[in-house]
Amino acid sequence: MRQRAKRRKTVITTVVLGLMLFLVAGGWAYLKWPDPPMEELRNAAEAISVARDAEAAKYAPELLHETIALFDSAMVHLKTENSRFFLSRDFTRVDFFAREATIKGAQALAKASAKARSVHHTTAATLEDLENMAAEFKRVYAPLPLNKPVRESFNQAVMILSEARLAREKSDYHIAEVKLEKAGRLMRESVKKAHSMLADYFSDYSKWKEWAETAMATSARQGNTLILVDKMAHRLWVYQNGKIKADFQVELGPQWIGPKLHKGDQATPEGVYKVVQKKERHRTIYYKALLINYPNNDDRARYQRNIADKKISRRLEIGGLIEIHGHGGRGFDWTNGCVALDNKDMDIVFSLARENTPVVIVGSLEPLEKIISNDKAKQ
Amino acid sequence: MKNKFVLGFVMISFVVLLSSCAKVPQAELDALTAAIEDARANGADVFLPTEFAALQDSMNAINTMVEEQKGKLFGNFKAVSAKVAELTATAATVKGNVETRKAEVKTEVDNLMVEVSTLVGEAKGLVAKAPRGKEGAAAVEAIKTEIGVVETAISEAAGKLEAGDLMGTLDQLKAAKEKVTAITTELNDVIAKVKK
Repeated sequence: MRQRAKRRKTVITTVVLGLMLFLVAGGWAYLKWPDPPMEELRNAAEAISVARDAEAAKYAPELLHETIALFDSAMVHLKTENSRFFLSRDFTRVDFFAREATIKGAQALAKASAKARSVHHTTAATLEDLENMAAEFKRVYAPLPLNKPVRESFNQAVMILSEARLAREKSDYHIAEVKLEKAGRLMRESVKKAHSMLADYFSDYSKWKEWAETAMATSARQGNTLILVDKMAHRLWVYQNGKIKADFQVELGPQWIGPKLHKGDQATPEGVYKVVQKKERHRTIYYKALLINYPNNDDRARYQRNIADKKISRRLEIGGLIEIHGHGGRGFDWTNGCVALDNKDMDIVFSLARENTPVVIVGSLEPLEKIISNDKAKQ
Repeated sequence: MKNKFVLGFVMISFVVLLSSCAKVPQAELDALTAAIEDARANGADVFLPTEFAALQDSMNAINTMVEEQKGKLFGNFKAVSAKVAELTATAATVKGNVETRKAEVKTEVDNLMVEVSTLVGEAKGLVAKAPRGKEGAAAVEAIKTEIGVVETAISEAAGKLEAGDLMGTLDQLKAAKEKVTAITTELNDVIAKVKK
């Protein structure tokens, strides 16, 4: 009995001592246990979240990626240190990467916020500018016989502009910015090519002006009739004694920009001509007609030069039978190079013209700059 | 000998008792990672970007909690397990919502494709019927070129659809519809004026 009691006492003492030893060891381990920088890590995670909310993925993607990479590095080091024996853990690098991630996250947030604000305004301004440019193109260049690549390029620009506007309406400003850049590039290319084509055409302006002024002065001096055609304006004037007697809308060949180079080019010629024949209704299929003396000497010289320079084939003829005639009023350029009028207008022109009446056909009576600025003023 | 055994048993029991809460719910964490990746693969980052970003942020928070507990003398993963379960359910919901949104967008795209193609056909018909305007043949050619550009946009949109870019297809078709509607409206106005 006594021995049992003694044994029980020994066991209890052993257990208590063991517990105390455990507690002491545990207390020592607790005091020595290294603390990972959890607050810094939580701050870094928060920085990533806040930057994402500010759409840093769109407006500051590189900074956001750097922030995430720094945070990931902190986590990797944390896992590595946690796997070590507690006395050899060192969270210095964890702390470093977590702090760097927080700083970088703040930079991403600042950049994204600033960019979002600026893109909101810049896309609005750019959209307005490009819409104005499109409107000007439609006014000035679209009515011209532009080549297909220029038209396609412009129309594609207009479509992308619509996509940019739709993106802005959805507040996808970064998408709008990308689309506006593309639309702007295409639009400027189209305007440049169209303007270059027109400017190139207008390099003959001084020559046209001289023809018209000389003819008008002669009409005034000699008291005779003059027919003057302005291709750009699509107008025909009949002068008598140097004064305008009649003024009509006309239709030309579809490729009216430029002089007539050969038969079948659908171009209306430019130059100083005269009426060589008046054709009454029974002598023409176009109601009434005034045959002019195309080709004149200038036309022949140009034709020969172009053949010699191999700009046109020898097999192409220079063409002829260019008239001022009726059956016009269709509202579009449809002739093979002739100048067409509505029949009632043709009646008047026919009655005022005679054989040898001068006919001067020019590209434009107004300089290009005035035409463009007049179109702007008409808005 | 017996005392040493008892002592050892007591100490081991104590350690086991205190460490019974220190198991990382690794299987659940792996399942959660897979669920988030699944949502992303289904297009959650494209169709529900805000919800997906929230998933990623919550995952970061959970990983941080896990490492915090792993680093402790006596870690407790009960709260982590609860968060993991909650986020796994959220990820499944997001994935479901993505499917719903994709279906909505696909329906809208399919309808738009038919609508725009029909409008292009109507516009071509109107061009043939339209009286010639003052701008002349150049304007008619311009309208035909505009219609051509819309047709090119429809082809490009079909290509994007095939490549799986639903949102890109939708945006392009909306712009094409706007363009061809404008062309049709202009042509109808001209025809109406002439009839008067």
